Amino acid sequence: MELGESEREAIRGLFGGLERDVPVLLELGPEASSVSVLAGGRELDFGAETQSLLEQIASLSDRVTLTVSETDDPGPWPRTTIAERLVYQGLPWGYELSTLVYAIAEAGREATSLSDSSLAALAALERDISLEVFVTPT
Amino acid sequence: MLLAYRCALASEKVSAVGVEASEFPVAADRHGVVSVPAIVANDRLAWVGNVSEPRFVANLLQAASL
Repeated sequence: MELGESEREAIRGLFGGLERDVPVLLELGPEASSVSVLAGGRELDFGAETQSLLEQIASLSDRVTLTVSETDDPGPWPRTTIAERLVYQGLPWGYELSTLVYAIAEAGREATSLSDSSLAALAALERDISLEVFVTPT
Repeated sequence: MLLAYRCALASEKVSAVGVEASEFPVAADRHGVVSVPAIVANDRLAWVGNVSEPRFVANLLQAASL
């Protein structure tokens, strides 16, 4: 999948506001549960497609650095980790690609987009909480 | 998804993982996910659907208290 010029321009604009470097790690390997998806009459290679998209995105800002690692162990690959905090498992296509781009932009800014009341509520958290958000490409 | 990421960036007590459900159906089935977005908190299906930021944070706090 290739980003269009209008998409590239929009991402460049968004990344123009990055105030710090954002490392992006892509982990590739055999998927634990193999799923095939056909697109345009060909089978999608989720890992290769994800790598291609992330390379294109990382090329749009000097502050975004992509590292790719590969393993032979089956697992939830491809797995993308932004700023060592934000994880996405799978091929980020459609709306979820936009989400990852915004996540990079958010991680690269000093200020949060959350409201003061949300920040105060989160500051009151006493226990760790692990969120998994299941999505589908749209 | 983005709200989960924003919360994870704002608090070290929050971790956030997005999962493409059709690519990882076993994980989705394990949590009883039948529609998306579905939010699993501490390994339990917590809520389904897009909600406002205040509601998202309120749901998160409630799930953390269980």
